[in-house]
Amino acid sequence: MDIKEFYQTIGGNYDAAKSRMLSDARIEKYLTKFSSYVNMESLKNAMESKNYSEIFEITHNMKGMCLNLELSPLAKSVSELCEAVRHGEPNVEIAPLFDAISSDYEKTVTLISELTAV
Amino acid sequence: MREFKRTILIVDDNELNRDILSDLLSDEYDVLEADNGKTALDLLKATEKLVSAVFLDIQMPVMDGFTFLLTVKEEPNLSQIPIIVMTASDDVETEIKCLSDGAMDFVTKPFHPDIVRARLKNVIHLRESVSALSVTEYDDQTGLYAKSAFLHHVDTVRQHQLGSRFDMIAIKVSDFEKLITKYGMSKPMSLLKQIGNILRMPKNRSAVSAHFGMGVFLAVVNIDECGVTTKETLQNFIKDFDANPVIHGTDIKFAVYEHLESNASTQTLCERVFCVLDRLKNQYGVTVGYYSPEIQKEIDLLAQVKSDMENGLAEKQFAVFYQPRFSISEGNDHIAGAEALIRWAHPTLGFLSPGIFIPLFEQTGFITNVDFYMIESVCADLRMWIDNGTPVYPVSINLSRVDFALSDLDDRITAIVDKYEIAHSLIHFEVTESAYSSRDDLIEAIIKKLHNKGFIFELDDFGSGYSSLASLQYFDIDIVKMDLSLIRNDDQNSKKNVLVFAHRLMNTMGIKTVQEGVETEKELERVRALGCDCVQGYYFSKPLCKNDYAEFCIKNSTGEK
Repeated sequence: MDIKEFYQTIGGNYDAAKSRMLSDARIEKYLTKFSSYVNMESLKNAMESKNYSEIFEITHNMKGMCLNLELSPLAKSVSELCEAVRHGEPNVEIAPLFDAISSDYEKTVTLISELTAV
Repeated sequence: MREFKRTILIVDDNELNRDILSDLLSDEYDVLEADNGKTALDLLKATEKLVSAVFLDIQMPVMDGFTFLLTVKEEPNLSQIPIIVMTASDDVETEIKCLSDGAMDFVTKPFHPDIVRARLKNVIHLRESVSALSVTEYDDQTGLYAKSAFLHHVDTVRQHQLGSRFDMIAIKVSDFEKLITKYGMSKPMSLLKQIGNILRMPKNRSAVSAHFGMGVFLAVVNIDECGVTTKETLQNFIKDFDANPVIHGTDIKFAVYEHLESNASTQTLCERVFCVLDRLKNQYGVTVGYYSPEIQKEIDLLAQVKSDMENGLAEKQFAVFYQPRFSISEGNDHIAGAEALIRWAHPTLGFLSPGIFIPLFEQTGFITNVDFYMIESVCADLRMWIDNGTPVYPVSINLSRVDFALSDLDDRITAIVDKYEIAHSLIHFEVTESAYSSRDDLIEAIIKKLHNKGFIFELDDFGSGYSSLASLQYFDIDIVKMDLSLIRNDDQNSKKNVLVFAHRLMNTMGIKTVQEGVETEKELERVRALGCDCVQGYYFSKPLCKNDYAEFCIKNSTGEK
């Protein structure tokens, strides 16, 4: 799997990523480091302790990274949780939003490891 | 050559974003990074002025972007650094808030590298251009506008307030260079600051003021707004200036141009007011000069003189006139010589008085060419008269102090005189008092050399300006010429009669004297009684063209007067 196929598989925008990073090598470099930038453990803890400001901070951060790397599905699910807690206590159930993030995140990092394993 | 790299600061808590941005910009910039506003502030303070621009995220822990913007705005050393805010594409509210809090631009996330680079380049260029402008806009010493900024601002003000009356005032610290020589830099700089402070006082707010350098100031006042007349403004200025003198006895000159014409450029108006200022330079005791149409005529005349002088000399429009000088101390009054005087027969302006063009020639240094021309012409005339049997007498030629800047002046003069085989004793040189007041060693040496070769030296215009008795002692002076003002102001009833004192002094020192400006028999007898050796003036003869002078010499050598 090359980078273009990677983006096709996850439903991300390869062209946009390329125009931002200017080279496949640079995209790959940051995809490889993606999981080290994202702190899912902290997000999980914040969810459990209902620390909404912490959830906002982490998801806001994650959203930015996903948008920069054009990881569109994950960016979308992260954004939903981020917006839900933007003003503090959410008025919607956020556990499913977190689950969606966890699921998209797993898919994404799995595909990234497949890409970089080659 | 290694290219200079500017430094930028990326402030974002998102490490991946920072890394990507840094990665993209590190080819062109040295990149600093901070993960929140507080760290960024500490970094900026530590690296002051090194940072050319800041990329700023808004949502950050510890100190967010909004707080960072407001804090930076209050820090004088940091507020000039351009800040580009990184916002989400749909976050218009944040953009507006950031721009109003001092952000210079923004990029939306996720960013496009070309947009990031272009915006970064733009803000840096803009900020650096403004900084460069502000450096040249103000004068360091006074905090007033510098020349170019002044011209620009005055043009703008005049254009926007077309109906208003504007006056221009030029202020000059007399002999500012000499103050530096005398006191060093510190006191004269304080003097400039003092004048700057006066011009920046609240009561002078209706004026646009500038320091053009070397103690020359300009102010343009909107008289309608000012509420006082220009005369009162000057009086107030002098009062403020004298209240706390930095250097006692500082002489200040003012040139005033009332009712500035709206159709003349500020540059032109400045040139005119400077001409008025220039005219005041040698007018002792005159503090204020006013621009007028008559002065404009003089300015135009001087401009024409300046443009025509070289051509005039090449075309021999300059002629030598001779004013006879008579010996009056040897029983029978007889011709003893003449002073060579220059006349310019200008093709369109007619005969011009030396009073008009000599100061300009001295200013431009052209006087030296003219003085050599005079020496050559006089020598040629003397040679011709000697050859055709006309009796010859010594001729006094004026040397300007400017001529003494030539270190080989003595050799050049001697070469000309010797070319015509004229006895050195037939050539006298008149040097004005002021020549003896500066570059003493050099002038003294040149005079000594010429004197040793047999040339005679006369101290001209004694008593007209700051007469220095020391010059009589240090320089090889054979003759002193008493200024005509001494005889014009002769008050025989006064106990403080300068004419009497001056002649007695020279008698005591054994220095021969020539009294200029003797027009009547009464004046002749007056100076004869004081022991004067020679006189020059209309009583014996007006200045004559060379042919008339030759005839005069022939007549007087046979005993006719």
